[in-house]
Amino acid sequence: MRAERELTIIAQDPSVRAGPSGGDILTTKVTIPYEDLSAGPRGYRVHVVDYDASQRVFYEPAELGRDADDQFRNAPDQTLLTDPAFHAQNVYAIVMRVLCRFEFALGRRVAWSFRGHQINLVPHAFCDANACYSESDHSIFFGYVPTAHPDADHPIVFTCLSHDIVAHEATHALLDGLRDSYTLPSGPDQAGFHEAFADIVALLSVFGVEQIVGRLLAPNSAAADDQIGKERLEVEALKQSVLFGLAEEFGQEVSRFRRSALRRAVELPPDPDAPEDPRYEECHERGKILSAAVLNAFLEVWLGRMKDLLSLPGDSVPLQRAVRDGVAAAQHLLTMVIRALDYCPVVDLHFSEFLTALLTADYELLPDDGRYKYRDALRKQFALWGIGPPYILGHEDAGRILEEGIWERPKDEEKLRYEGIHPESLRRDPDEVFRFLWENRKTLRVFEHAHTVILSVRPCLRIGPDGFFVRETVSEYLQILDLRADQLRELKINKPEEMPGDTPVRLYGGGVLIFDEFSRLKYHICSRVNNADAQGKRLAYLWRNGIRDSDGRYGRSDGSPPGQRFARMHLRRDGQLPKEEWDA
Amino acid sequence: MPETKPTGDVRVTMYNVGFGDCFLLSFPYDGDGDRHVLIDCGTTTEDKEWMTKVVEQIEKDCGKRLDAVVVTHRHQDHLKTFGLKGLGERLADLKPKVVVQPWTEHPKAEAQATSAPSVYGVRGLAQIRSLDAAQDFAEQLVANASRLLSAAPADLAEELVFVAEANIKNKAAVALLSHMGEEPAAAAYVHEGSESGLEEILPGVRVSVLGPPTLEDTTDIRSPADRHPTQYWELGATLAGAAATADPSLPAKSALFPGAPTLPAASAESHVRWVMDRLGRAELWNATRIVEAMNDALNNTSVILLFEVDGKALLFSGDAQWENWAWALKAPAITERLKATTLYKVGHHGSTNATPQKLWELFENRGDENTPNRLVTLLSTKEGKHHRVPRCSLVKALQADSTVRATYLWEDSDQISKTYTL
Ligand SMILES: [Zn+2]
Ligand SMILES: [Zn+2]
Repeated sequence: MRAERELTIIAQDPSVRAGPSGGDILTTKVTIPYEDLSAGPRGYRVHVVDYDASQRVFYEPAELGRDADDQFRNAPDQTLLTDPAFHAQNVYAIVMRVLCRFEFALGRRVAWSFRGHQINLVPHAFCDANACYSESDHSIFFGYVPTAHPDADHPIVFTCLSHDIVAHEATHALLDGLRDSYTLPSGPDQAGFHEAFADIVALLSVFGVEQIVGRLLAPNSAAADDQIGKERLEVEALKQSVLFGLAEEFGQEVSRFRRSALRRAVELPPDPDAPEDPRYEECHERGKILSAAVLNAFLEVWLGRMKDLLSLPGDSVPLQRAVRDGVAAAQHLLTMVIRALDYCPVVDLHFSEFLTALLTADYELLPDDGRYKYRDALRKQFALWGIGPPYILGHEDAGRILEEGIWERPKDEEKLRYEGIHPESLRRDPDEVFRFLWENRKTLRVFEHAHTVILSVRPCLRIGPDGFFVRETVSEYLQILDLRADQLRELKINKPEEMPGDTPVRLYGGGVLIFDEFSRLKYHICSRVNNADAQGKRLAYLWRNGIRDSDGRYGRSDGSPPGQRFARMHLRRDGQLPKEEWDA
Repeated sequence: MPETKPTGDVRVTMYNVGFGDCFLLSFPYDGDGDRHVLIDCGTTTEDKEWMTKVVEQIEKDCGKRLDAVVVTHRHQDHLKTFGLKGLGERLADLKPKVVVQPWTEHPKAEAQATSAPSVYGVRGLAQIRSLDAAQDFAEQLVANASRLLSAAPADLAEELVFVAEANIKNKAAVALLSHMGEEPAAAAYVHEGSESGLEEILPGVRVSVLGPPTLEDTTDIRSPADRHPTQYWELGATLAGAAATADPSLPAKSALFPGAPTLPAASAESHVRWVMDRLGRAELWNATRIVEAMNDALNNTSVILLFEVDGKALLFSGDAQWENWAWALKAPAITERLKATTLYKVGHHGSTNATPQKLWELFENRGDENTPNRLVTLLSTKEGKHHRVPRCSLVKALQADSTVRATYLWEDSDQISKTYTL
């Protein structure tokens, strides 16, 4: 019995060819865990349902075979483009690959956000230039559109054949499983986060494919032992070839707006005033800040890894070495980015907190920042955008600080009570965790008058690049407070001036409790439901932007119909939804 | 022709056509009677008897003689009556000397044409083809209405069918309009900055065309042809047609992969049928959005006319939305003149995106009841027809700062028309 299965996928999308001047579609092989697949394919986490609602056609479920053989190894382009079974394999393999990356990074199983273990992937869902994850449908729908180029080899563009689109959607689904509260109305950072995070993971996943990196670095080189000129490995040159290059390839036909969004994220001159600039309040603009910071950090780390290589005598270096360094940098950064989620607040996320989470996640496994200084690069790139760690020395919540920019230890940690708490249960039992939280509500300064619920208790085993590992338990709790606007004053929260006093508003709070292997609290990352400043800012933002549900209540939802949230987010990004001039 | 001068008065007659537009502008001339311009005659109602009364009233109001007809754009709620059997002919019998339509209606720019009139360019042709194909798509959706209406939620499906119906090509009306002028030369296909075709009919009245733009005017007008190329609408129509006749108990043939093995949808296991059902709903959302995009695209072909006479400025914009307005609002010479607007026909029946706030803020005659020469706004709409109109905050602004003449607020719902003299 094999432990792994190797499957052919399209490396980026069908427009990316293997040769310098055209040639076959560039493919690659990905390795995912072997499983006994049913027709579909249908496995333990993914179920491909190939139904086309626009023409009401139900394709025969694909059989990928019980032996681990890859039916599409060396398949001709025509087969890749016109065999729906290959399309099913492509989405299955890419989504499983992304899922495995998440599970590796987090050191545990990762659940979907809905009740159920298998997400439905629909590779030919409808005729529409969009792909979207729909939480209420437990599905990711991939659309298709006719190409706008009459002379194209193939008349239809399939979103299910774009590596980055599939990875992007899988990321939305996984992020929603980890932090379903990130789709709640919050501030501009959280609104921009889902989209930026999905783009970052998709980009770094594609950078994990050697063929792609090689082709971007040296489009005209075919042989594996080619050399590459050192001048092409300088920061501006890499930006041009790799980042712009990939942005160019991204969604070439499906969404030129998406492409230009990515281009712009790389192009944007860093601006330390951006977080306060109204031009960056719209969620897609906002997200570009995050993408820009992470992608530039990626380049910096990559260059750092090539330092030795570039100091060798001569004008050029082996292409393969440069490619491998790029892939390794992307992989490491991808692990950090995903792992950071466990160290992010449960609600009302800010980019500064994501930065802190990134640094903390890495610190836990590599306390000395290793050889390549990933954390330095991130700190520097975020600082260029005016984003620094959220805490200030002497901040009311601050405890001991272990390294600049990582989460501080809980304040008064010596006062935490563990009497009567079973360390073993604390690793899996929500009631045990709640007991801990409640018993320590004063030390942890948890507002006790809000509805409070433990969302999850997740034991993890995280493995570092040198084989070093860390055992932790991650537990999240959520707090909900429903008020009328005129009651905000009791919590010293500023009501948006013009908001009528009887407007229903909902405040969220919550936190992440990270326990060490002895079940002692290591970090308490919280957004307080009674944090007057943060809650006031959030309500002001929601009020200013008219973000409310269909009953006119603030703070609960943005009023998107069920299942349409991500579809609309993408359409807005692509300029396909009208911008209305007058309020309803 | 002896020189004849307008008296400077204008009478505006509003016809209650429910959701739709129908206006008659009458310009008295010294010793030479009135000149009548009919702007649109559409509706969404099926009540032909009512529309017959409207046409009778128009005949009466213009003394059985129209000087010009303006059809702002190709939507049912602006031209349906021209395609109604008997009524279209009666309107044609009013013998307008000129029929004004947007450039996108130019017969030489039809879908089959290989070249468009040169001013419109290649992109213009693509635009027209795309609009044409979009209407075929709408037709398929309407043919498919029962399937759509059977899918939940009902209000969404109804909205979809309502918008799709408005976007069906009214072949009879289009044909009638293309040869309704007294002679073929009397057809004017206009774009911003072009002549209006009304120069000879309304001497002494300055008539300016402020829209629609041609696609060459500005690159930042994102053309729907870029967003939804003709191929898209064609495929959409093919698929919708196939879906309408698909029998779930038989394996359907795929238009995408002709040889691919398929199964009857009804044979799927229950979990898969659940996904199919959910997907059907998601597709309904898509279709609605797509139809609305198409609706917007057609709205943006609306002719925008500014009539200026004796210090009065009357602005009729059909259903022009922001992209259409953009050109006019960018030209200082035009915005200067728009400030003096005395009558504004509210765009797109009061929808949020057809009265740019930037335009509204230009109007200097806005103000409370005591404002001299207070702005008059005409709102021809019906509540509850289309979820986007009339929009609350816009209506509030209209009521606060202008004298609103709104068909849907008329006390007597049997009233066919009202005439206002400016
Ligand atoms: Zn997305
Ligand atoms: Zn209309």
